Amino acid sequence: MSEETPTFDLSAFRDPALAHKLIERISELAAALGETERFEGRPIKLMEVCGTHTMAIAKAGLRSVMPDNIVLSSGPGCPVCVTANPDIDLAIEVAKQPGVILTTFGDMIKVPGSWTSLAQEKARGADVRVVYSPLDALALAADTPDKLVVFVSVGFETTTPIIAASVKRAAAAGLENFCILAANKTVPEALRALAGDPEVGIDALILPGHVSTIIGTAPYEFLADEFGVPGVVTGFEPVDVLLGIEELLSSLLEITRGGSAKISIAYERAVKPEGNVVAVDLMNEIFMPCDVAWRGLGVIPGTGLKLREPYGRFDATVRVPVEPPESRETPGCQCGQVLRGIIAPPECRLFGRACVPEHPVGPCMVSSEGSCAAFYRYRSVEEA
Amino acid sequence: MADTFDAVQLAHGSGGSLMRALIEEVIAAEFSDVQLEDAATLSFPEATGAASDVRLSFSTDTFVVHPLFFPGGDIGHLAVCGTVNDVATAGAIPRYLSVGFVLEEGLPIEDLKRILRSMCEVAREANVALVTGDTKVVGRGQGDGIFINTSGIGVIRPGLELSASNVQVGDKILLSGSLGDHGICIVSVREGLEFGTNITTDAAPLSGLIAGVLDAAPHTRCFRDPTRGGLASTLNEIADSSGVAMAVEEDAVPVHDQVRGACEMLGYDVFQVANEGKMVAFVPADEAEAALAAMRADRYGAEAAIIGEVVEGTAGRVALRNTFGATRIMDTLVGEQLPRIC
Amino acid sequence: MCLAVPAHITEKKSDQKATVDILGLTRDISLDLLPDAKAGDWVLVHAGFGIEIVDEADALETIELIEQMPVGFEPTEVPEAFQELGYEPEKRSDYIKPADSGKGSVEEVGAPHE
Repeated sequence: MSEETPTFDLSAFRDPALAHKLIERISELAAALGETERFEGRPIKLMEVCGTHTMAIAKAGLRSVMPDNIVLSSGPGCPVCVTANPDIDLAIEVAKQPGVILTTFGDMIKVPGSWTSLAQEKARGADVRVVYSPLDALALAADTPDKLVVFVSVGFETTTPIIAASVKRAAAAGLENFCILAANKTVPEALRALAGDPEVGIDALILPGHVSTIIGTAPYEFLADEFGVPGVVTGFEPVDVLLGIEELLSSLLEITRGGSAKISIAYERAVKPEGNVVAVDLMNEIFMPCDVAWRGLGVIPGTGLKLREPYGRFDATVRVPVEPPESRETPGCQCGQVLRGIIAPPECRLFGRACVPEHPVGPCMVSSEGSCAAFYRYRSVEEA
Repeated sequence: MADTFDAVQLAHGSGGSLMRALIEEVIAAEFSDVQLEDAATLSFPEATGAASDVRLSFSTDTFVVHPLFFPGGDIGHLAVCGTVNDVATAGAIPRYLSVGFVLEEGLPIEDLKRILRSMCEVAREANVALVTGDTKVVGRGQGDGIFINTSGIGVIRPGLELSASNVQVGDKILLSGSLGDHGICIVSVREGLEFGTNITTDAAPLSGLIAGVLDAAPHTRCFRDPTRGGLASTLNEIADSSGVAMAVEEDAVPVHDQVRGACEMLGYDVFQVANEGKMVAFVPADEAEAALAAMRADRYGAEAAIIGEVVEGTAGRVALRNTFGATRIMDTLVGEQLPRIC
Repeated sequence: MCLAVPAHITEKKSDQKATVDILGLTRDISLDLLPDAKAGDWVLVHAGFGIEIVDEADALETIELIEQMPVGFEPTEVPEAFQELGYEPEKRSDYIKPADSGKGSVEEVGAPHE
């Protein structure tokens, strides 16, 4: 770890000595919880709802060091995985239109819709390009004035303000050949659906790190107040994740001793209770809430986002009128249940057989941080 | 697996499991004589006298990299190094190369000359002669500037039987230097992903390094260069071929800071990023230190390290142990790595 | 959904753009979401934008919090998961550590090369 020099050294959050200390604490807390009436003889279910957490846990092999009575469950935290087939089918249809350049984050390109994927359509001649940032799509639009550049906008609140900023820039620059397919969603109300579902059975929530960087903690208070479910905003380095788990278990122990559930922050260096107000304001300036269907969760009112009237011309569905093909749920796919944490990826009938990263059936196996892909790629030596 | 697609996809070229499926299920299914190592070993029983014992290493590789010029190198440099290295992995000293060009209409002659000079320079360093070739031209828009195929040939050291199927429990795994430099260098100049970096391609001719290791560790089992698909694909292929399990120590693998930074920014796994000037060697435990010293004595092996070993366990399984003592499977790249937000 | 990397702002430019350094790598990003960020700040970068300033004091406080937790543990034990694989390093120094140990601090900020 860093000594005298004041360089900002984040490697401490990967320090094995600190990790081992936290693992020991977690074992002690889990043992204590196992002796309480509430948790005697049953596992303690902690759910994370951020794909990057799914990856971080899998990559660091944290499940292999958890005590037996702790279950780390993955929820609908991957914005790609929760994008329903009709939305994917629409993007694919738009990509096939002449004069369109479809730009997308890398995450979306291999996701199968009802019938095909953007990657397969690219192989068949559609102009589909992967970008790192929506600013790259703006630059492309400026460079190719005779084409319509469509950006597939997915993501939760970490990404939405960035799209909003990009749309605002396009408007300011008078860039008329740029538009977006808005498929962004918001997280807190989806958590309500999960917290209230006895089949899902969450004891505590590992709250998303960077979504919370934007929205702060207020939007989660209802989890503690209405459902008695504690939540800790957690970072992504191994030590961050372990600290979040440690704080959740401490919280649960307090609850069994008569305390009340609360929402707290373990990722203090990157999250303020009030969040990033500039980002939230920008998001609200460009977008407004609407209803949207989540894969596996059905329609959750108010969790979708659409462009407000002054920016309506940046809506790709207005600029490229297409009839999407009949959408269908992929037969046999159990992504919906995996996304709600009701089954773990290996419990899906298709996992590891018909559905593997080389030929995925559903998005949970495609998106590199979909639960199934993370499980498959980073499976521990015991599970493989 | 490959036959679930009706058209070739870009991902089929990325060196991962999709590419392997294409080769094994579609191509090798038709070409029954093909040897699936990096280079084929040829013998000529019909030759007379001493020549009838000679075995040749013969390899071919086609280079389609874009952009053509990148920090530290170009497609020509790559084309010579790639085949020199493939021939050398069989334990041969590469001597002769053929070159095939497919030029796109409109390619500036100055660019072509730069590429040719680059090829000559590295051929001189590697002591190979470019002896025969072919040139074709395709219309504008039908080729990425230039495609280059090189084939190479060399005589295998007598008595040497290097093979990816020879690896045994207890063997040490050696890596000649830092991972990810070439792949990240290419990404850094690719449109839209541009970032400023000091990273240059690591492409280099390694026949000297291999010869040095064989002198010091004559019972080396095999060599392989972790090109497309990265170290993960290479280790998995060898684990499958030999029917062994492997254990790699994550902390022992050299990675430069900027490569690490780029992988974090884009969400890439450094074990799946391409390298063009690195070599993996499987060496019996009692010769490992000597092999390591030989690698480090070579100008391209200064950062060489022993990164793991072959262990008892499920055949084909490559495990990676991280700083925390937790282990996970190091999996083969599937399609291609793309920048992601998740 | 949350892939973001800590970066050091080396130069703030016009139009809310800035040049950042990520372990020696440089790139231009947008500060539309962080108008108050300045050169010398550390920010989290997601899809080409800074989304929050990373507070060093908070980071150090978090580390201290963990360091003060009262438990003891022997960090050199080989966990069962790995033992099952049949892997028992004689000593970790068997495996030579690379020259760059990949720590998060930026030792030098070189000029970006084309």
